[in-house]
Amino acid sequence: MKRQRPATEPMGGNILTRPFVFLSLLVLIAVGLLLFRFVYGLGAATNLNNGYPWGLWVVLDIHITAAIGCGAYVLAVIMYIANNREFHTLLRPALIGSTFAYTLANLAAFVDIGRWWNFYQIMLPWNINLNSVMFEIAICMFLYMIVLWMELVPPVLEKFGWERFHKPYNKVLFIIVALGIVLPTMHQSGLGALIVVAGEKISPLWQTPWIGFLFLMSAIVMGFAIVLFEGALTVLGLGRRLELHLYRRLAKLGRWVLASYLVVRFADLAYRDALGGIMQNPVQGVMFCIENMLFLLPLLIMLHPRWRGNARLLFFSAICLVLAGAVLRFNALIIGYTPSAGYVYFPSVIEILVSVGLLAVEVVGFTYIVKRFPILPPRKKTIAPGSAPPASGLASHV
Amino acid sequence: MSIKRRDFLKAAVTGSAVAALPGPAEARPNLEVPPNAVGMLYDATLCIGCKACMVGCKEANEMPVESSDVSPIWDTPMDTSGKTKNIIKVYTDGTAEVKDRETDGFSFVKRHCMHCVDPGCISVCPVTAMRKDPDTGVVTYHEEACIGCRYCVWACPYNIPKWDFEDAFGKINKCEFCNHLLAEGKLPACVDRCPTGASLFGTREEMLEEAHRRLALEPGDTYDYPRNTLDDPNRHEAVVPHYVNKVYGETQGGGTQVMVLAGVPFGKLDLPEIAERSFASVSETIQHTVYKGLIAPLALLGGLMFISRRNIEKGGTE
Repeated sequence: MKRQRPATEPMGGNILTRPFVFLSLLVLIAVGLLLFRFVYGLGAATNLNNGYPWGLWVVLDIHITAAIGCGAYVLAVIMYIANNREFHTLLRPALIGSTFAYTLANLAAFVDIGRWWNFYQIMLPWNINLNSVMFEIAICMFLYMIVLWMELVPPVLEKFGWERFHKPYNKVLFIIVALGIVLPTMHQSGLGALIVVAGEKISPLWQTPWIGFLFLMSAIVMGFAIVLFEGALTVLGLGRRLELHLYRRLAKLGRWVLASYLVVRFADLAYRDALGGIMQNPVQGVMFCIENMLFLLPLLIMLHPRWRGNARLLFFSAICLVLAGAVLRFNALIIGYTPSAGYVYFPSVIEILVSVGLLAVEVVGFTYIVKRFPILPPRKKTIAPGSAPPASGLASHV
Repeated sequence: MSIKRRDFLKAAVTGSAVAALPGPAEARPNLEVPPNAVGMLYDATLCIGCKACMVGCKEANEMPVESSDVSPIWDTPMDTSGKTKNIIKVYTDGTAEVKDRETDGFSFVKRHCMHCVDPGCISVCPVTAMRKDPDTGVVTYHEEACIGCRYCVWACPYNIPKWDFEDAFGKINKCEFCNHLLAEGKLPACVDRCPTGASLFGTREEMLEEAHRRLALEPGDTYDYPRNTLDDPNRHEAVVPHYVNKVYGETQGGGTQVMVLAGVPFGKLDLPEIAERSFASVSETIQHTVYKGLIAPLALLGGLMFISRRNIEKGGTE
């Protein structure tokens, strides 16, 4: 069988660029603050309290980060299940992004649990609680992280010239691929189903038996969006060539998932007669509107053939969709949550800086890996490594 | 292109539907009351707010005092917490003149674990650190298994389990019905210390009967109120108040083993009106419909392996 592997190669270039050093600094700060958290505890490091036992770390660093990590999941379905290979050049960068996201989400879970030294208890067979949505999420997210690492084996083999391992690897690839689709399907819906048990503590704007399905669909939407987003960032930050035709077709596929998401979302709200919730609590009402505007606006752009063809609008849509999924998760877990009276929560400086640091790890790691490992296709236009992209950004590369 | 798109959509939608739909399978019903379910009846109209129960609780469970005051003179927690399992709170309205009246009145309320018949905390715990005694129904916490995820804190409809945020190596704290005292044939400390019989101990059935007996009384009449337990001879006579005509905990969220009577609406006492079907059963119905015998995920996995293998052979790896 003829190998159809597209050539990918390390970008090369200087690692220690100014943004890289700055972001690394943010990572270092986060590491220091994490030390503080482990020595002095959650109470000292965070503004969490017994009214809001879950805060920024749970929502941003576990829920949202994992959803942002759905790029590889979506591309795996498109490429290996729908057998549509036109997006192959996007797979490796998406895999890098997803692997970082899931590794960080698992790390964040470890940081957030109050009895971290006891984490292995979740793996002891006599402790298993199959009724617990959290159990399912924890196990699936951990396993999927391992699957993602395994999906990254080929570039490592290429980098170190161990080409002879490609063949046995490709023999089992179908198992890795299938696991890499089932596991996110399970835990991304689980991350939503998590809130069902809180019952009336969650506003009816988000509390629905369908929330698992909605989280899954929105994670798929975010998966599409993040591939676009990462693509645009490699254009802007690393001076790569923009493959607009691919992103346009990706948007064409993704809009159907987005449209189905919105249909289910509003059919469910209408069926449960829950839209009145917008009026009951102004903060929840406003956040609900922001959330859904962020979903709707990109849909309009993606439905319109001319707008969809515009690189700027496409990038804008991708940002909207990532934010939309993020706001949905913030709403369902924090804004829509009614604690017992007298508790308020706003993340502490430490919580924010740790979250920023974890996001910085992703950018720093991504940049390093694409420069040193064969992730991206060889560039067709030469732009001096590390040089700033043209000021007009996206459009000029089209 | 359009065929490929359809394929993709099919895969995406059926895949996600299999794994995420709240299907029509048979619902998991509420759990049943355990055979020898213990019970507690708290009658807010009898409570004088002396907090002897709080002192008793702290002693029996070796909990330190906690002060929300500038000058720490008394044990004054603001809520149940990492160091407080039981608390007397007060509802006041307007001039707060009359006890157990909603407007211009006040009422005490004793808050601690309700020992749900179908507890959310047990359903959510990923490591089975919350357990319900199959015989007595007491809900206990087992720190040796706990990973500190605080899902129980987040999910409890009564906001009862509390994480000890003051301790860098903390744990969950909640009332365990003085399970260690029950084992010795003693009363829960709060009941034992209660001078007015506001907290009463017995079987859940007895407590429910007694509660309905009180609701059937004529306000203004006198009633011979028991202390500690129904058969304790140390009783006292008191005038029957205007009860809200409901036993809180009889059906709420599938019922609780701690039940409450009061003269003001329960919503004012932080006891929310909760549907009879437990949230645990709703959540588990969805979970087990999707994951029943792992059939759906395994079928999905098998299907995906088949398709991806074929596609990889046909089209190469990337």
